[in-house]
Amino acid sequence: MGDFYFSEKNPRAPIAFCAFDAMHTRFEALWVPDGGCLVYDECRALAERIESEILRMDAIFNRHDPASPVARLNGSRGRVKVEGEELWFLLELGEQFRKASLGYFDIAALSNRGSALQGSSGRSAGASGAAPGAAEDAACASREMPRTEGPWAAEDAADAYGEVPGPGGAWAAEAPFRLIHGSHEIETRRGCILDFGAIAKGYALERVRKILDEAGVRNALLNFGGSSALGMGHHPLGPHWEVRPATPVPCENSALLHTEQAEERGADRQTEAGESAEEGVTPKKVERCFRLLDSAMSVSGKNREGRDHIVNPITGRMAGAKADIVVQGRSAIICEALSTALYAAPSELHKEIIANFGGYTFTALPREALQ
Amino acid sequence: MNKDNINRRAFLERLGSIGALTAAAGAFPWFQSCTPKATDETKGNVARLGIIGPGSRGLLHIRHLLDIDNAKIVALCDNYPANLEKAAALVPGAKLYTDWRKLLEDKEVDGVIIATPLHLHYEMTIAALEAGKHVFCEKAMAYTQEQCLEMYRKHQQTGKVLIIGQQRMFDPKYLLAMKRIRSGEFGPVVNVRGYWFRNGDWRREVPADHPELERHINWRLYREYSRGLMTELACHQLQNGTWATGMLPEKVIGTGNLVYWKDGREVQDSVCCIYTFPNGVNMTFESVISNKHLGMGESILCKEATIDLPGNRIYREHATYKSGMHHLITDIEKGIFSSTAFAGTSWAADNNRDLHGEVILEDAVPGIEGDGSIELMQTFCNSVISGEQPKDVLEEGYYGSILCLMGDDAILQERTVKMEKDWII
Repeated sequence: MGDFYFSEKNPRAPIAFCAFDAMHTRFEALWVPDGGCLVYDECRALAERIESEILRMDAIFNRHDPASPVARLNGSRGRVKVEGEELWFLLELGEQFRKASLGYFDIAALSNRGSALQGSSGRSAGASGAAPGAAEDAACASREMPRTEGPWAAEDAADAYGEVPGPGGAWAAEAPFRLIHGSHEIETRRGCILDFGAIAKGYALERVRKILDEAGVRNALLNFGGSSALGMGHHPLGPHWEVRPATPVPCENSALLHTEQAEERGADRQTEAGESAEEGVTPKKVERCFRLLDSAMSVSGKNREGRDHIVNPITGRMAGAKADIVVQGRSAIICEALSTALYAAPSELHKEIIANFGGYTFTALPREALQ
Repeated sequence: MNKDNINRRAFLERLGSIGALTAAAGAFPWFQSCTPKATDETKGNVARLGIIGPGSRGLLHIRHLLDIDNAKIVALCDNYPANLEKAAALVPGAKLYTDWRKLLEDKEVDGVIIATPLHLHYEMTIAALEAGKHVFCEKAMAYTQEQCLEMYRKHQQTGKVLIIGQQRMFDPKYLLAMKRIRSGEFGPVVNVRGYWFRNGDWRREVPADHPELERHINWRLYREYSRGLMTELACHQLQNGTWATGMLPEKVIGTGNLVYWKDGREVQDSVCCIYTFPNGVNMTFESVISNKHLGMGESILCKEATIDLPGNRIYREHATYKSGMHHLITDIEKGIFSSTAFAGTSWAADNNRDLHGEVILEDAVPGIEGDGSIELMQTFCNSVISGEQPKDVLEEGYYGSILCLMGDDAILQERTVKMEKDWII
């Protein structure tokens, strides 16, 4: 088992904490053990259950593990049965996100990356030779994605990768895969790589939310590697959970910052006793801060070494946006998918994409803000 | 008192306040000789010192000694008038000599600091010890392994203090790091890397009206006086390896050439040596003086971390995730409602090298004030007063020099040079 900590040092706010490595990063959970799990042993058992569940998720969605169902799908060609309901659920969900994000979220974005890196304009952008922005627009338009289509059409062999098959059952010429709903099968093309890295952590967070909820926990803060977080209820001593970037983001330097919901904190931070917790903090030192209250957040951008790692599914090239994206909303899964899509998409499409996800907001932060 | 003076004094005083150094001093007993406690024990006494060779390194020692309370420079000696004048300006009351033998006859001199060209170390040290003086001799110890051994024997025979100028042994950040390395905290040592890259001709200015002084002033470039990069630069870095592993290398291979500065010099301007310890661990030393991009580096590579000694950093092999959750927990325990800092793009253990590292010694003073030189001088002064040889300090310096000389032998002879039993002390 990973790290576990239980504390009743503050009798008004006992806490339990667990942390362990999973999904190539670190998971942390802090919860207030009320509602029936007040003692050390019960909290420890809960931590073990959480770890076991996340490692189970990891075993399913880790495409780098040859034994995982996803790796087996990536190694298959033609039509195969999808193993397990959870994998099928995320495949379907991924397709819905792809459509709603105008194609900028795609669990198959890594497919055929080799040709893209060699100078191709990507699997969907065509070979127009136009500038990248224009190519993206053209590609987006050409795909005619049914943005208003209901979820998961029941008809067999329909809705393959966003396009309805032609009379002969043909599917989109460049689609790496298609889902066959009636039989829970997937048909993949050569070069298809499915990667759930951009939603698996969000899904795992939702699973942990369910476990904690069933255990009677009402207040908890979950952190998956810094990029995905979920706040259940509120801080034991405050009205919400507050999460700051790993590095402070002074507001006066946020020229590129666009936000709809991000909050500021600083001199008004109060202790339980009502006293200032940061004596001498001036407005100039106010930091960007995100409030979580039964909500989640996700960050997408360059990795922490400053390298691009998110592929723009439309162009097949690395997305190299100037600002990282923070998305907030109820579902950790949607936050993850949406932040990835917005990071890959041109900024002029952000409003159109976010409009397809009611209840979700985003903040664009300058790159240096999140280091 | 200028800013530098204040810094040097503050640094010595600070030694007593670094708690972790107490434990390090236990592991490396020579360090106990320069602690404030050791200095207090000499209270009321002064070390009366003569400086032989107040050139660039000698002047640095003088500056340090001027800040040490129990040091008194009573004599200066150099056969190059320009150097002597500079030193005399710093120590107006000191007697001046141009013949080092005369200085050794001076009864008011308790100890001498020898900062002369390499080829003179042996003769001067032997004579000084025989004259009843305590000796601090700059590295490298001597021109040959046999001379080093004879100096060591003479020290044993006379009972006088002999210290070789290996200042890193007194650098607090090195002490703290080495203690942790030797404890096995970072796993076994798997490699030792040392390099020193500069871009310059390594020359000192020769007065235009005295061209005959070329070999005298630029002694480092001529085989008669020096063995080049191996004896002038490698000592410190090779001593790191024996310090970290607790072993002596059993052999060395090496190559060296004159690549760029083909100006009549007789020593190489590019050297590379690989030493091998009995357990197979390699230690490299490389130096080039026609490219400075890589600068100077001294790293101990362990299975679980790389220790950058001059950089004052430890880089873990497996970067640890540091989120603000622990602070959040502490605040809740204290009854504080606070935020937690962790938001960022996904932290990935596989991709994230430990780029920033962990500091070895907080607030370590960069540059010359922090490299152990002043502590080394304090040690010598305390030892001169007490007459007690600091434990292990000579042995470490001795082997550092033996290794340099072995490396140069390997380069010159184009063969594997093995550690000879006769050199083991």
